[in-house]
Parts: sequence; structure tokens; C-alpha cells
Amino acid sequence: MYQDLLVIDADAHKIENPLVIRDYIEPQYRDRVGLIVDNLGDQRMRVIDFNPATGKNDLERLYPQPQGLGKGGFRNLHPETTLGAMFNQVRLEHMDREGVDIQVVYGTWNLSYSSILDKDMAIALCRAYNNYMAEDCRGYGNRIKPIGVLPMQDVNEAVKEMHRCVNELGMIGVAIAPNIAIPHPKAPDAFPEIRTCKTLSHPDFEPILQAAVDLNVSIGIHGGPGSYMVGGIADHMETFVLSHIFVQRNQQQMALARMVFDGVFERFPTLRVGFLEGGCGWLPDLAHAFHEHWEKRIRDFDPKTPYRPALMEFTKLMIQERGVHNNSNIISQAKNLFDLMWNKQHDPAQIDDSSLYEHYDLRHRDPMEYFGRGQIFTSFESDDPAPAYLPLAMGEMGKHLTCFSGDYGHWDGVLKDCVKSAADVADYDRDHLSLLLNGNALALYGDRLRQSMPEHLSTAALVGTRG
Amino acid sequence: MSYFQEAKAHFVASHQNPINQALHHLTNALAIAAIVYLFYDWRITLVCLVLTQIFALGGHAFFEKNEPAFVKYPGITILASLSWSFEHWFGLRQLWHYFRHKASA
Repeated sequence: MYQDLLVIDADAHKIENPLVIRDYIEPQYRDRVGLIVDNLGDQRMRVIDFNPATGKNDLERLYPQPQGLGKGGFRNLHPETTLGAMFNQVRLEHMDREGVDIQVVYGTWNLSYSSILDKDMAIALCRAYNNYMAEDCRGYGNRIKPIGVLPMQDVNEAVKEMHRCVNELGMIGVAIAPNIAIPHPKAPDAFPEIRTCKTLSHPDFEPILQAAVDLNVSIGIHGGPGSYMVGGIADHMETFVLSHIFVQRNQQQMALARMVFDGVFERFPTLRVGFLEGGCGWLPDLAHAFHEHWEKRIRDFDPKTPYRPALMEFTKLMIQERGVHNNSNIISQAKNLFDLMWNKQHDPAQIDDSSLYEHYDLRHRDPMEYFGRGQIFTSFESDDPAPAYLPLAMGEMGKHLTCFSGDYGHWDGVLKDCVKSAADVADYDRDHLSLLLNGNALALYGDRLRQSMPEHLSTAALVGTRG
Repeated sequence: MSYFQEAKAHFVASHQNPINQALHHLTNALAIAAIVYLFYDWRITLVCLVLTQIFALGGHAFFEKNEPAFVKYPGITILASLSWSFEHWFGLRQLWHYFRHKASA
């Protein structure tokens, strides 16, 4: 509790114990994964993956990616939280000390599973991870809530695994990567080094979204650096500092934009999605861009009657600008230019092509509504003042869009005074602070979290929550 | 840009059809003739003035298919029109450009 307010850490982490999780992996895959220490002394998970070039399982991949553009982290172990992220007894001591009542726990190694190319191994690793986490977090006063991971490489298996996570393992939600790497159409043979991606909004993943709605669980979109997904600007950065500055927010921004404009929130109006570990300060800017593009390029956009000025007006302006000397030439120049720009042979009124109607099925609804109706959430970390900006930029709805996250277990997380610094960094009123510390997380994770909370917490005053 | 320059730019932009241009050069020549004949025979002046309106308005109605320039710039359009004709030697310069272009093509 913080000043009698319930505190939910909406995005904490597990550092998987490599010795223990190994026991959960089916024997046929066990020898293809393992912990190594690289030549710079950093721990990496080594995976022998399917190699598209040879057609065999002989592609060695290290997670996180140790070098190159979009590289992952090094010297990543947090001096205060690493042991707690591995051993829950320490975790609970830290939670008690800092006043964190509940942690929703995403993993670390699993954040890269979506880029594993061997589909069967991905399925096996997800099952192993979920079994491991369910057992690892069981007990502890119901205060540690693991999130399941899904093998996005096989949609049917992902749906099955989601049902298993929720119904059998008692998990309150599932994690999905912000994107899944696929071959780039211009360089298919260079995959996975050169890649593009598809996001959760792709029609292939529709059954996963439907299952989340049916099960009434939220989806936590969670990416990571050096995980061989598409990372936006991070993919063009050769230092971890620069890569990490961009990777989380770029991945979340892309996932959010695609989900909005591919119509996910239109088709699933009760789906709840958390875009995690990317902060929230960018949200007003992106939301404004959504609104502006929707207004100008979708709602009011008419590709069959594009702007076409009068030739006379065009010529007059050209004469005014270029002078009236030798104006028999300027008239023909103006006419030639006019014909080039507004070609008579390609009269837009006569051209009807579906590519001209981008996202036309969304023209009836401003994307801002999705934010207002509680489908989209982000997270913010200790000492980040950005939650204070959201209501300024987006109005009252801005108070309902972001959840406190300590990022417990990761190098950039904060342990000491993590709740206090989140609360003190801006002048929040009590209702707003309650939303940030618990109300928004409860709205994101929904009844599965509410109903599985320790009894003494479920009766705590939840000031300002919208139920 | 002065009011005259604006009016002239508008005049030039309003007269892009070659037949309409020829008719307006003719109109301007007739206007000058009307002034000259005022000192000799007012009836010829009257005929010239009637013909100027027929050629000018006809050029816009049948060839250019737009609004005459004097609607937007009344009065000063006459000066812009005459200035334009003098610059183009009452159409001869445009013809010269046309044939020179043809020869070099």
C-alpha cells in the first residue's frame, strides 16, 4: 500500500532460472537451448534454431542479440533486483519493503520466443515457460501473477495455450510480442537477418484475439531489445544505449498503430490491450497523429475528386510570380506543367482502385474513441512524469491510460522508493494517483486479477477506479 | 505587385486560346481605329465599337469558355489588354514564335 492505496506493479519481470526451466522443456528440445557466457562475460541464452538457408536445425542464435544493429543489452543484471527476479522469497521482501501489493510478472527470456523459427520448438518453449511460471509463482499469498506466453508461430496452438494458461494454470492474462518477424519480400533469402514483420492485427491472428475476448483476459504486448523482432529506429542503432532508447516505444507504437488502423478495436470492442514497457509520454502525440490522419485521410478523404485548380488561376499565379515578359511562352509552360500535374489522360474521377481507399472501413469512428472506452493501456515506470501530461493533452481519458510498472528485475528498473518516486514526481490528486497505482491495472487485467487478489486487498479502497 | 500588374496577369491568364487571343488583338486594333475615326466619321467608330464587343465577348463565349477579364478588373482591363497587344505586336510576335518553334522542331 502507498498512503492506503493499493499498489499493483503492472509489468514486473522474472529472470528465469536456467537450471530450473530446463527441466520443464521437453527432452527433444532440451539440448537445443542453454545458458552460455559470451566472450565479454555476459549471460546469453543460446538456441539452436531452424535455419531457412539449410533447411536444418543448425542456426545458432543468442538472446539477447550480442552485437550488430539493434543489439541487445549487456551487463544487464540489476544489483538490487536480480536475485528477487529469480527467487520469489526475495521478491516478496522487496514488495513488502516498497509497498507493492501485487506484481504482474512477465518473463525475460520468453520475450524473444516469437522470433524462434522452429515452430515446434516455440510451442514447446512456451509450454515449458508457462508451466514453470505457474508453479514458480504459486503461493506467496496470491500476490505474484504470472502472465502466459503464446507461440505465435502456430495460431491454433497459441489459442490452445491461451486456454490452458487461463483455465488450467490460473493465469490472469497473456503476453504477445509486438511483432513477429517474417521474410522481407525484397530479400526473402536473407531472412532472418533482413526481415519485416506482421503484428497481432494481422488477419492470421484473429482467433487469438477472439480467444482473449472469450476468456475475458487482457493481452500484454511486450517487446524487448535484441530479440530479433522489428525494432523500428532501434534496428539502425549499433549501440545498446541508442537501441534501447528506441526499441520498446517503437515496437509498441507500431503495434498500437497497426491494431488501431487494421480495425482490431473495431472488430473486438471489448478487447483490452496493454502496450507495456514503452512508457506513455509518446501517447498524446501518437493519438493526435491517429486523429489527424483519420480525419484528413480517411473520414474526409475522397480519392475520386482530388484537388484540381482552375488552369486560369494557375497560369495567373505563374505569370505573377515569373513576370509578364515573354508571356506567350509562360502560358504554354504553365499549360504544360498543369497538364503534367493534373493529367487529362488519368482523370481521377474515372479511376477506382481499392488501394486509394486506405482504412476506409474506419471512417465512421475517430480512433480517439478507442482510448476513451478503455481498450488501450500503457505503462510508466518510477520517476517518469509522463502520466501527468496525459490529461493535459487528452483530457479526462488521459488519466485512465497508463499503469504503474516498476520493471522489477530488469537493469533499468527501480527498486528503492519505486512507488514513492512514481507518486511524487508530479502533483497528482488522490483519485488520479489511485488510477495510476491500481485502477488502470485493474481495468487492464480485469476480473481475472480482481477475483484472484488476496482477500485483504480485494476489499481495499480503490479510489477513483471506474470498475 | 501593382494593381495594373495583377490585372494584366489576370488578363493574360484569361486569354489562352489562340483564336480568342487573335480576336482580342483584332478587338484592340478596332478600338484604336474607333478612336481615329471619331475625327472623320462617327458611324464607322460606332461600327468598330460594336465589332469589338462581338469579337471579345464571342471569343470568351465560344472559344475560351470563361469569364471576360473585365468582370474581375473593370476599367483597367482595357489598359492591360492594349499593353498586351502592343507587347505582342498585335499577334505577330506570337505567330513568329509559333513558326520559329515549328521550324526548330
